[in-house]
Amino acid sequence: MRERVKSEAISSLEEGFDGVLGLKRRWGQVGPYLFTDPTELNEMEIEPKYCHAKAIRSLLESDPGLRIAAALRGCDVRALRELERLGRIDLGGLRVIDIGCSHEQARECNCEKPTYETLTCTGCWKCIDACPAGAIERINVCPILVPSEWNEKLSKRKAIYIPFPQAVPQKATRDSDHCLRTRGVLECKGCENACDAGAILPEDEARIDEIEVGTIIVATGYDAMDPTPLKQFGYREYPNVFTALEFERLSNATGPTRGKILIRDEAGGFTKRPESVAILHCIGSRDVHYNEHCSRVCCMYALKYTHLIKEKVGHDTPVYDFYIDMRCFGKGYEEFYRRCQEEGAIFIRGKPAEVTDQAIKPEEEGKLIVIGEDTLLGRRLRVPVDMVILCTAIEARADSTDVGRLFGVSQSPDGFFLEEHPKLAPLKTATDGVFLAGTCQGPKDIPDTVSHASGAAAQALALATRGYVEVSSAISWIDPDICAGCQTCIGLCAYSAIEFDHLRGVSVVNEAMCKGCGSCSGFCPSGAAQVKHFKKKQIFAELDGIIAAIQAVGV
Amino acid sequence: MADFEPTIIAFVCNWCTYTAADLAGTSRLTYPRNVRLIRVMCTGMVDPQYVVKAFLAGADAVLVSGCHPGDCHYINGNFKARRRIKLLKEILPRFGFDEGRLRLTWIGASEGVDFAHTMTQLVDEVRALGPNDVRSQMVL
Amino acid sequence: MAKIAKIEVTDSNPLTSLKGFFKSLLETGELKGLMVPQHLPMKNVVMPTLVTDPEKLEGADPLAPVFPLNAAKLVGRLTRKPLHGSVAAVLRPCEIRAFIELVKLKQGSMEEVVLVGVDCPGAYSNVNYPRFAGENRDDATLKFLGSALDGGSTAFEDFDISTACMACEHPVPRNADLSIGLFGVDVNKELIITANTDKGEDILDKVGLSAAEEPGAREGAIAALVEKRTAYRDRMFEETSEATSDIEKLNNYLASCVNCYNCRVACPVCYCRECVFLTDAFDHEPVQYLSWAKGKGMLKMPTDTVFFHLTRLVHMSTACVGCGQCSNACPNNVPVVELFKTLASYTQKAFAYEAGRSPEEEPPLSVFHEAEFPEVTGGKH
Ligand SMILES: Cc1cc2nc3c(=O)[nH]c(=O)nc-3n(C[C@H](O)[C@H](O)[C@H](O)COP(=O)(O)OP(=O)(O)OC[C@H]3O[C@@H](n4cnc5c(N)ncnc54)[C@H](O)[C@@H]3O)c2cc1C
Ligand code: SF4
Ligand code: SF4
Ligand code: FES
Repeated sequence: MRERVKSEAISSLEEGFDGVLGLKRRWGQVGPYLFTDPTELNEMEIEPKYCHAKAIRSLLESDPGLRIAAALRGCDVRALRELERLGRIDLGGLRVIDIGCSHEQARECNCEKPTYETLTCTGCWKCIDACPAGAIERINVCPILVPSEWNEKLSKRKAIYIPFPQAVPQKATRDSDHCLRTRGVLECKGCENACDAGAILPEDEARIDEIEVGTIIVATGYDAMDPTPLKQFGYREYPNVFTALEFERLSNATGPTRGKILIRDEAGGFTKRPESVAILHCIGSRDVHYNEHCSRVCCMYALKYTHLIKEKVGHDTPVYDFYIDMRCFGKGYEEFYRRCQEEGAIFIRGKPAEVTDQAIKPEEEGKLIVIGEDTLLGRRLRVPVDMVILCTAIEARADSTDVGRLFGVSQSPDGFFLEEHPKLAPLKTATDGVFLAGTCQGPKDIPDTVSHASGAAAQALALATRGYVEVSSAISWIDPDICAGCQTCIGLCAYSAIEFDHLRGVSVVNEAMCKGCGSCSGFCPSGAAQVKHFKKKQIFAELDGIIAAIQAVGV
Repeated sequence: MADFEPTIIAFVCNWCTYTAADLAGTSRLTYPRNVRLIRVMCTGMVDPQYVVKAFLAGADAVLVSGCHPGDCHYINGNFKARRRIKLLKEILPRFGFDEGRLRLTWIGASEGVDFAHTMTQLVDEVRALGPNDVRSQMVL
Repeated sequence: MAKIAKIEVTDSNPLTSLKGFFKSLLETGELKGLMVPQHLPMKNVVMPTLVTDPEKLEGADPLAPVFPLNAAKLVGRLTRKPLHGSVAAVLRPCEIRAFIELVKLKQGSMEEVVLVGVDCPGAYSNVNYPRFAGENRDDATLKFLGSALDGGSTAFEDFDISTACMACEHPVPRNADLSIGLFGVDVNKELIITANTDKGEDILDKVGLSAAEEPGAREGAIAALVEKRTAYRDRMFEETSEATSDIEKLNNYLASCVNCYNCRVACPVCYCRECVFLTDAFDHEPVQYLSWAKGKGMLKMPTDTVFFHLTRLVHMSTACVGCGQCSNACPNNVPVVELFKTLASYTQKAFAYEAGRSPEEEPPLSVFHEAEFPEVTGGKH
């Protein structure tokens, strides 16, 4: 690595960079040093325990026109990026010479990007490149560009990528559907060569690991509805109609526009600032044709957008919120609504009928026109805007039925997972040891999700730490005096809870394994196998009681 | 016969049809009071004897109802129930119990509306069939 | 191809030859014992006996037109745990079929038993056999065979072989290891013995009989008999269905039942150690009777009669082999086998199952499939 760093440093100087920032031992101590003479570079140290971010900041702050290269670690780069995000420096003149941290180093540093035994990736970001100008756009060794799922396909990512900045674990993954090498198109080794940790295993493949656990929390979340079928709102037809999730990425600092709220220009690039924005609430929610339920979070995130647009695009930017009802149910929410009103947002009660680009007035030219009605004023409206945001419904995930079956969890009519009881057991499911957390159970915002999930974790832990489970009393018991040993029940039990006692010639229920389904008792002709609390005698008594009551009083 | 009110015994599984009945209730749906529910943990627990007993005690119809195939809380109890009901459907109609008096249905936990609807329909059908002959006879 | 041998018959007495054959079976040293029906020394009663001494076979007579009980259960008792050696059991076709059902229910094992079946021309009831045979033992049997095998009458005085036998469409023990053929065979000259399995073949080789061909008349004789019985059976099905077509008629049909449960004790496939009707589930509270009586003002005692029979139909009609021991055991002449065999024909057909056909077939209620019987739920899966 030393050699590579040195040669990159030399070529930087040759290319005319003003200097290469590295480490040099002086007076018995290692410190930052700006190398300007290639011959000096032999003395460069790659002792990694030194943060260059401050040095670079002061260099760039003192001379913004400086063009320097720097031998940097992943953490340095992350720090610099953060500084750039804060607007303290401009990294335009910086070339990064990567010092990939070794596995041992990462461990020694107690690096905040933790390392795992299974993969040796240290999260140094090197394979992806450290450039703050959107990791994806620049020098990255990987030549492949794929629409980024994380950024709602508004930007591109490489075939080797870290899914998103907060990903845990913070590790690169190779997209084998697109990677040239895994697809067998080319013997590309770009990322493999770049990774000093040797984390990229050429022959690694997806595999299934089986892990034995005692409790399970299902936290599979939701799907945001695809508004394409609601043709009247023009999603996909007009480039500047966005879903809320797309807007979420556009306004996010790690998103494709690095947090600048921009709209598409004629060429499709995000360059223009919107002069006005319409936010359409309840798209696909509270709608008998799509989802009858309220998605709960849209009103509040719509207010968040309203506020963000005012803050980022400009306080004079008109923002129109088309709502059915404002549902500001949480702590501090009503106050936030009021604040947005005070910031000058325009709230219009009435769900718009259509979004169009057909101008009928000069001021509508080149704009998107939201056609609707203000039901409070009883007045029809045409509102020309540059950007439309659709607050699409939170839906049960498309695979909920399959996932539910996997865990023995059923669904409520809206498709979300059904809790055992809406009030008494909102975290539990009908299957012991399987808990629900978050929006898989129903639409929730983050505070509610976190509360729900913390509760689920506590319940799961309570069960796990106790180390034993209480079995239901309603389980099967086989009367050894009656059992004829036919063993039919053994074949019928879905839980292998019945064993045959060869000595006594009778079948015996394992109380820890029996779930009390009664598949055995429903068959056993002699009534030897019966489920407690559902014994024949009890059911017969129930029947006799019902009939006697009916005979006494009529239906 | 016009004022004949059928008695229907329904064996419903705890996890699906009973929950659906509960949902029908909490949704304030109504269904005929002719139906009396006996909750069992799973349809796989319904011993054919229960059905026979219900008929002999004078039920005009017996419904066994549980989770949809694949949804049984106990994996496959409902499949076992289906065979048992199949067997009963071979036997009971031979003795004059109209086949329509014994029903097996799958009503999922979320299908409160379906539950209320099925009950209403069943009661109508059984009302049309008239009373189970056992009622007028001394059988036991 | 099944291996066929013949047993020579001398003095026109097939019984003597059969006894000789059983003796040689025991003398092969391959068997620890032989179960065979014998006329008991004390009285002319034919009962299964377990013989270990080849000299103790004088009374052996598997052809006597009576079987006071279905011996399948006894073979089950003999085989349900390891014997560490084989036994042979001489059985009627319906006993073999019942035994196969019991094996599926783990009430016996095929491992250590050689099943020897004999063509069955039928049997009288336990009540009628003594009237037919008196103290005549082998002679009565020979007389019966003489007329029965010629396609002649089995009727005697005012009775005939039991209804179950008249309606039996399985007179040939096709799933025995060794089957002894009478139909279409000149039993005054020879008996035909067929090894249907490897086990049967092994022991037949050891006995060392001369090979034979199946007599040309045999298939035809069997077909004619089966046809006659099937016709009888179908008539019985019709009459029984008609006689029980509603609950009132079923009530009449079972009216004289006293809930003695003898039918179920005699039933070879009712394998419960204790009938559920004798368990505490049916220990009704005294006030319960009053409450029931109040419902209609009157209650037949004992209660649960129809319930018992319907339950028994649910529990064992798919395993019913139609041997008729239920009727044989009924002290009140309830036509039990008619009812059970009729219903069994429907329930077995519904599951494409035939009781006693093969040990490989799984009892209908012991298995299930994900997609089946859509009609049960109104066409929906
Ligand atoms: C546009 C929009 C804006 C929002 N803004 C806000 C806001 O400002 N404030 C706020 O409080 N809330 C907001 N919310 C709500 C917030 O997104 C949710 O409350 C939160 O994401 C719910 O978290 P969750 O863990 O339940 O589900 P998710 O965030 O959906 O997480 C579920 C995870 O499970 C994974 N998963 C799914 N199936 C499987 C499987 N079979 N195996 C393994 N993994 C699986 C998914 O990939 C996903 O990573 C917003 C929602 C939307 C749609
Ligand atoms: S089904 Fe009943 S009799 Fe048979 S083994 Fe099981 S408990 Fe015993
Ligand atoms: S009740 Fe269900 S789980 Fe328990 S032993 Fe019987 S078949 Fe198995
Ligand atoms: S739990 Fe509902 S049918 Fe099995």
